[in-house]
Amino acid sequence: MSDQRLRMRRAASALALLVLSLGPAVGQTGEPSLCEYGPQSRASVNKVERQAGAKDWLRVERGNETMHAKSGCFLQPGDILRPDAGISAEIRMPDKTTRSVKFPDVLEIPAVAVTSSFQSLLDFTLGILGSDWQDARDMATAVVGDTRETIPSRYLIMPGVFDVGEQSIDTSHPLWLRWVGSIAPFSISIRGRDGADRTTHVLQITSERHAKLDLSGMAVGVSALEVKGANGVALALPLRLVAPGEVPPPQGATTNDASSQEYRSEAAIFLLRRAPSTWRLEAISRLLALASEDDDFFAQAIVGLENITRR
Amino acid sequence: MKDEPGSHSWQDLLRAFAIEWLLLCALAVLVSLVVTGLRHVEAVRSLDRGVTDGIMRELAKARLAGGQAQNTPRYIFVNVGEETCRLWSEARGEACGSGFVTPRKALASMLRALVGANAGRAAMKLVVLDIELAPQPADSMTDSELCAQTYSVAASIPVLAVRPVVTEVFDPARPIARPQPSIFDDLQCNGHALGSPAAQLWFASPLLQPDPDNVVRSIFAWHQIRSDDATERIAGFGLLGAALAGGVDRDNLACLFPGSRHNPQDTCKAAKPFTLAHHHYDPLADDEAIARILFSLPSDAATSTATGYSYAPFVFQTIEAYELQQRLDETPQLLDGAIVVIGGSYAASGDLHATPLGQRMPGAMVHANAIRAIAAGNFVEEHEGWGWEALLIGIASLIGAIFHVAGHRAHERLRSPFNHLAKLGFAAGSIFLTVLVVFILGAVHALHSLASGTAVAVMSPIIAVAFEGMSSILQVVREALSVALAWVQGIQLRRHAAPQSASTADGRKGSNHE
Repeated sequence: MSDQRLRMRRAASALALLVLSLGPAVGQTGEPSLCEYGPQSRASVNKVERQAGAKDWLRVERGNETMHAKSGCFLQPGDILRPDAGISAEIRMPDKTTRSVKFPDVLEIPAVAVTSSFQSLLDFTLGILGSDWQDARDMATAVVGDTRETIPSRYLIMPGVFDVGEQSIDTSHPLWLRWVGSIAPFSISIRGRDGADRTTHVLQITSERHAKLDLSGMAVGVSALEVKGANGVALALPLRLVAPGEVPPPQGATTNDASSQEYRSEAAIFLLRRAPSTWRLEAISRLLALASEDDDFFAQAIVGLENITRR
Repeated sequence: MKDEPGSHSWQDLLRAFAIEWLLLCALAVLVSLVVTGLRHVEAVRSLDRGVTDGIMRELAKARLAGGQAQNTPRYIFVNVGEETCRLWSEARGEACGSGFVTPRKALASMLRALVGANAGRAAMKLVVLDIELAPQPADSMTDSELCAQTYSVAASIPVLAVRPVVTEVFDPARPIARPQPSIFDDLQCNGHALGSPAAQLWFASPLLQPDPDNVVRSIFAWHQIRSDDATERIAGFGLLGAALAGGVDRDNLACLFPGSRHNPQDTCKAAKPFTLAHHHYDPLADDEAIARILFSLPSDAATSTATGYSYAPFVFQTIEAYELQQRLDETPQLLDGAIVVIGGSYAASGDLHATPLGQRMPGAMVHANAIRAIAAGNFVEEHEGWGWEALLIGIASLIGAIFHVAGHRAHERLRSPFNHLAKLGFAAGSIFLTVLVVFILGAVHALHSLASGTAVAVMSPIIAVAFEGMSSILQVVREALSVALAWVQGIQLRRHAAPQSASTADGRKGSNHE
């Protein structure tokens, strides 16, 4: 009896082993697993967040199958996402936007519209007639980008100084700044980035959207400037404070009198147009000074009358 | 039987049509020759570039939206972007500014992750390392570690590292570039010393060829670099990357491009031209080769994929460098069979370029586009030839001739002023239809063949027929004005005649009275 039981146990164990070993092979159809990328992948799970006690995966339905998706999982058009209770997820959609889903939302990954030949032709024609030429002009004149955010309180930018990286600033004269967005009052602070002095100095607190900063006491070297609105939206700008001798002199200036308005105007325009983009803020600062303090016509035309601080 | 005035036999009509068609063809050919002569004028070239850029954007959109053939490799851009730059620089107590240098340890970790990802999986096709690695004497240990990691990748996958170069003489056609030192120049950094004698580490030139509008549309397939010791040929990322991924004989590549070889001690037996994607490359015949390529991988520094293009991870995917290990943990198959490009896109890198697909494409992605274009043989030809242009001229002239004959007949058959209006209508219709038909044909053809010079080929027949149509319109306007003038003169004559006849009548009355 016991031998028979032992034989049965052995047979059952062998069967279980066989089933276990065959299982993956049977499930292997040659198709990529549901979360793997494939030619149809058009979306992905950026992240899955869960509340305590909830499962750590997102339920995704593809046809008759259901999969448990984690972050990094690739999705296809037609996939239906059903987060369980306590689950929220961030999805990168086919149009590259990010969508958040949480229980009890249901999200279906939309199909990607394949552009027809006619649509391509129409887009191309409209492109030729419209915005593409504008793009080309922007490229040619190196117009910098701007924010696409439409609610002013959510951004804080300095026009003309968008995404230009570290800026070189001549400390021998005041730095004029202007910005748009966020909510007053604004605090302007500077912090050393190297050496011993890494403390933050608040330079000014103002309810205006422009400022004139005296940097004459600051040592040359790298630092970081921050303009921060009352709602916490801030603009951080890495600076390299330099001595006057490091500023590229204007080439082909019509006068050599460095104190004259003509020379200062030409030097500012040279920095804006001809010098590397690391001088963009310095150039705009000089133009703002000329426009506001000296009523320089050309500087006013460049920075725009709305940006002149002294009316 | 005698024809009525204004009526014509079919033979007359055909003769008139044939003459008109031939005249229009001749005119269009003349205009084409003039426009071809103006092809080097910046305004014409600018129009040509604008048209080709527009076509490229549409092609890139269509290819990303419509999926991609599975036999083309995926491109993974491991991006040292703003976020990575910020995190890595903050870790060192710095800001992400112009002085930022990709930390060597982080780079070594990335390469280690690549080796780990490659183990036991479908091998990556190529690793492009577009990060300048000047030696750091103060931290030679880290350089050694990075070198060792690079060689551990190169032991199984070709690695294409950047040869830093500085342009000494900027001549768009024949630049003279001077090579700069790299950590891989260290005598201890080689395959023999590191136990990987068969490792495939190559150098490529990052030099690009911007057009006068500062947009990069062309790359150097190869060019010369001049050091104190020698002048030698170096391959660009595009050609060398495509050749390495495409299985071109590597010994031959080493012979053709001595500046791209990592180990200059290797002996070269014989160099010979090679063919890749039906294109013939003969570096022995030319010192420099510039290729205008099809850009098809949109990438913009501000976003992981450029705006306006759909997300197609099977074709191209961007991963922030600091997230690489995490992404590989989440998706182990992420790099299977891919061409992996490591490069920077942070603003302070100074390596962002305007291209047909966007204003701020990272240099590494320009190289990726070049590899993809050369691997598929997708070049933009400067001039496609006269066949297509002749066809368009024939079609445009056909439309112009039909409308001209029709307008002429209507002019003869109708009464004034309807005859003038009809002729005017036919002339205007001719211009409109010709422009429409020729433009659609040209654009559809260009979308398929991406032949540069399309703008010129489309323009010539349009200008010719528009010229002819405008002359017809002017002729009709002149005739209409003549008729109107005659009509006004007739009225004036009648007014003058009326008092005269009145005075004559009065005279007659007077005389009668007398």
